[in-house]
Amino acid sequence: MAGIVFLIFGICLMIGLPIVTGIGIATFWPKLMGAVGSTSNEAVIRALFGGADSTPIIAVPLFILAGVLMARGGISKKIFNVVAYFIGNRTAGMPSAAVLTCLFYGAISGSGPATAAAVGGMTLPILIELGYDKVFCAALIATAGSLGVIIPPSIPFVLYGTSTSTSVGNLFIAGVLPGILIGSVLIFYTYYYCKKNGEDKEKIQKNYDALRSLGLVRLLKDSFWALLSPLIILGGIYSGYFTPTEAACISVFYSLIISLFVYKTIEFNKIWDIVISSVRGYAPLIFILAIATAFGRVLALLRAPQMISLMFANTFSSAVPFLLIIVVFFFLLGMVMDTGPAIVIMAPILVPTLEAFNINLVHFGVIMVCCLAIGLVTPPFGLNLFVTAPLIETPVLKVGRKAMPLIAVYTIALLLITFIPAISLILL
Amino acid sequence: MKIIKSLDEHFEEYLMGSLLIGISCVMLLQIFMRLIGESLVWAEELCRYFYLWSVFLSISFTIKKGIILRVDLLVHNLPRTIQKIVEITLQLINIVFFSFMSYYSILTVRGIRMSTQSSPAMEIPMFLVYLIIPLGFILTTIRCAQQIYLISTGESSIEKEDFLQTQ
Amino acid sequence: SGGAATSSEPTPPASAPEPTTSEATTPPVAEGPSFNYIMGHGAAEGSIGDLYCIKFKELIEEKSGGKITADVYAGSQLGTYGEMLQSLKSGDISAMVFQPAPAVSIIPELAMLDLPYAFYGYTKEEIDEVLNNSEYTKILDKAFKEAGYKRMSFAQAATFRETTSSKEVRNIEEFKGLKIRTLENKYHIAFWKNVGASPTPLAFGELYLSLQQGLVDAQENPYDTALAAKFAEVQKYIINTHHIIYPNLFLVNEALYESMPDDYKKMFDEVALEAKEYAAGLMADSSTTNLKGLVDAGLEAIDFSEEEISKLKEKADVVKEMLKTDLGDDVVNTFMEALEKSKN
Ligand code: NA
Ligand code: NA
Repeated sequence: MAGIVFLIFGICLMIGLPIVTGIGIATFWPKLMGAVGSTSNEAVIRALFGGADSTPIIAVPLFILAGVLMARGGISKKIFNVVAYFIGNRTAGMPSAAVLTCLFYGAISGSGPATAAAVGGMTLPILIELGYDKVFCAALIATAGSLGVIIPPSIPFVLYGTSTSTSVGNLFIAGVLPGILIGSVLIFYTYYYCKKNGEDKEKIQKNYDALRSLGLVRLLKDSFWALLSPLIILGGIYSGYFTPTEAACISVFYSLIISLFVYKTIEFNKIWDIVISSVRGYAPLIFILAIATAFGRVLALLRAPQMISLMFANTFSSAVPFLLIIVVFFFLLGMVMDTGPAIVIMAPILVPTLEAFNINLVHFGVIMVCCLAIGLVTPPFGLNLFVTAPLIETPVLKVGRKAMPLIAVYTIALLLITFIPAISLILL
Repeated sequence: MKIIKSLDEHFEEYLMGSLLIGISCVMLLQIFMRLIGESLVWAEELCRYFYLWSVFLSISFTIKKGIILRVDLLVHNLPRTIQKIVEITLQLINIVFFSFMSYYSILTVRGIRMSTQSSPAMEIPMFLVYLIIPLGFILTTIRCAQQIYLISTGESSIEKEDFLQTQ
Repeated sequence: SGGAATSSEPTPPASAPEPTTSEATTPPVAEGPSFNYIMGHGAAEGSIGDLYCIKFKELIEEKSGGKITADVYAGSQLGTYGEMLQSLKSGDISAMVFQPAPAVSIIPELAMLDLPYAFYGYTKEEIDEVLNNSEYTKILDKAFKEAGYKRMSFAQAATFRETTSSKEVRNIEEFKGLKIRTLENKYHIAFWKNVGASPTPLAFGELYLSLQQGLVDAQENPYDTALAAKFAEVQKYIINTHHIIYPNLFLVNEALYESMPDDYKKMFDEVALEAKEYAAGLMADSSTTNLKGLVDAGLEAIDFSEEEISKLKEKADVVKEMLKTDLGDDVVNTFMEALEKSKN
C-alpha cells in the first residue's frame, strides 16, 4: 500500500496537479481503498491542523519577510563593497568577493533564492562591466546562492528540525563549517577559471581605485549597520537573547529599522507592499508543509518508515553505502522537487533508518540540506537558476550548463561533509 | 461594485498580510516582555494560531494568484486548445478534492465543538481556531470554480506568474 | 494469572512472553469477536510510556489468545497530544498513554493534578488510592465518559517533576528572578510567579538551546525527561523540588471498550492493572537510576529541607484558589478529602 501511495503521488504530479492536491489525494487513498490500518478522513484533517500548529515553523514566513526587507533595503550592496575593498584587485578578486558576499549574506538570509537574487541583482552588472563572462557569473552566483540555506539561519534547517524533532539551534551551528567549506571550493574553482580565461586587469584596477578612493573609514561607516546584522541575528541566538524563531522576528525589525531610518532605502508607504511580496513568497510553501505532516501520519500507520528502514538494513551492512545511495537519491530529488517539500516528506520517513545505522540526526540534516541545496542549481527545476538567468537575459539551460563544473566541485565538498561528520559536528 | 472587485482581488492577501504583521508584532512584544522578566502566557499560542490561519488561507491565495506549486512541464508543451481543456479538467479535480476536504473539515469542527475543548493558554474554544479549516477549503473551492470561468472566457492567462523574484 | 487483580504488589518486570501465536497458552476466549487496539504515545521508543504500552500489548495478546491484539506507535507518529486526544475520542486510535497535562483542556477536573505539592509526602499506595479509587476518581471517570474516553488507570510511583538549573538554588529566596521554563499552563505559571521566579513558557523543541544560551536558567520535568533530553549538558544543579506529581495516564476509546463482551472487559481490566503495576515499578526504579544518571552526568543534586518545602507548599495556595474558581469548591474539596482519606 505504501508503494501505491507514492505512485499515486507521482502520477498526480506528472499530470500537472498542484503538489498540494497530489499529496492530498495520496493521503486519502488508503482510506478510500479501505486499506487495513487506514485512518478516518477527520483524523487527516486534524493532522493538517497539527502540522501547522508549530512554533519553530513560524520562522519560515518571518525569514522570508526579513529577506524581502533586506533586498529592498540594499543591504547586500553594503556588504559587497567592504569585501571588494579588500580583495578587489587580486586574481579572481571580484567574482570571489561575490561568493564571499553570498557567504556573509547567508548569515542573515534564510533562503537560497533570496540570497541569489539579492547578491546576483547587485553584483552581476558590476562583474559583467568588468569583462567577466556573464553566463559564468550567473552560474557562479546561482551556485553560491545555495550557501543561503547552509549558513545559518536557514529555512530548510528549520523544516528539518521541526519534522524530525532535532534542535534547530544545533543544526544552525552544524551548518557553519560546511557552508565555509563549500564557499572555499567555489572560490578555488573561480580562481582556476580566471587564471585559465584571463581577466581585464585594467578595468579591474580602475574599479578598484574608485572603491579605494572612498576610503576605508567612510566605507565601514556606511556599511556598519549591514555588517552588524549577522552579529545581531546569530549573536542574539547564541548569547541567549532569543530563540532561533525569535531571531527571525528580530531580523525583520532590524532590517526594517535600518532601511527606514539609517539607509532610508524604504519608505513607510511601501511597507504593506513588502508584506504582500513576502506573503507571495511563502504562500505556495506553507500548506504543503501542513499536508506533508498528514501524509506522514498515514505513512506511519501503514508502517512505511519501518518497512523502508528494514529494506535499507537488509540491503546495506553499514552506514557508508547507505549514505552514498541516499546522497545520490537526494541529489536526483533536488533536481525535480523543491527543498522544503522534499525535506518535510522524506526526513521523518528516514528517521528509523538513521537510528538503525546510528547516524547522527544533526549530521544527516546537514547532508540532506547540502544535497537539496545543490538542487537549487541543477536543471530542470533549479530555483536559483530561474533567479539569476533572467538577470542576464539568458536561457536557464545555458546557465545550467555553465554551472556543471561548479556543481562538480560542490559535490566534492558534499562528499567530504557526508563522510567526515566532524566538519558538521565539531562546533557542537 | 468597486469594493467587490477589490475584495475579489485582494481578500486573502489582506488577511494573510495582517496575520504576518500580527505575528511579527506579538513575537516582538513577547521577546521584550521576557527580557524584562514578565513573559506572556498567551503570546506564543496567538502567534501559532495566526500562522495556522494563514496556512489555511494560503491555498486559495495561491490559486487566485496562479502561484500554486506544481510540475507543469507536460501541460505547458501541449497545443493551446488542448492545454485549455487540460487546465479545466485539472481545476475540476481540484474542485472535487477541496469539496471533499471542506465536507470532512466541517465534520471535524462539529466534533471538536461538541468536545468543548479550549486552547491551553488563551482558553478560547478550540472549534473557533479550527473554523478556519472549512472556511479555507470552501474559499479554495470557490477560487477553483472562478479559475474555470476565467480560463474558459480567456480572462485568465494560463501562464504561471513568476513568484521567484519575491522570495 | 489475573486473579490477584486488586493486589497493589508491583509485578516484577517478567521476561517478555512471545505474543499471539504461543501454542502453550490455552486461549480463555476460544470463540468470539476479534479486537485490534491502535495504541499511541508521545514518548521515545524504550521509554516508560513505550514499555507500558508494549507490556499491555504482550499481556492482552497472550491472555486473549490473540483475540485482542494491539499495535503500538511510539514517538508522535500518530500526532501531537491534542490530535491524539481527538483521534482517541473519534476512535481513529483506540488507546493512549501520556502525562495528563494536555488533557486538561478537555477534562478541566484533571487540573487538580497541577496543584503543586498536593501529593508531597504521600506514599505510592496512598496516591494510587486518590487517583484510581476515590470519590475524586468518580468525578474524573464521569467527565471522561461524557467526553468519550474510558480511563483505565494512572500509573505512578510517588515521583515528581523536578527542577534543573544553571544557578544555585538552596532555599526559596534563591528562586527570586530565576528564569524557569514552564509548560503553557496557567497554574504552573501562577505557582512559579508566586514563588518569586520568572516563569517563561517555551516550546520543548527550543528548550535545550535556550538553557545552553541562558535564555532561561532552569526548567522542570521528571528525571527521565531531563536525562533523555541531555539537559545535564547545559545545567549545573538538579534541585529535588518534588513539586508536581508525575503520572502516566492510560485512556482507551469508550465506545470500543464498551463494545467488547463482558468477559473480554474483565480480562482487559485485569491486564491494564497488571501493566499499570509493571509501569509503576519501572517508574520507581527509573527515578533512582535517572537521578543517579543526572548526577553522573555532572549535575550537583540539591535537596530542600522540610522547612523550605513547606514554604514552597504555602506558595501553592494561590493555585488552589484558582482551581476553586475554575472547577468549583466541590471538586477541590472532594480531591482534598480523598487525599485526607488515603492516609487512613
Ligand atoms: Na542562511
Ligand atoms: Na533542481
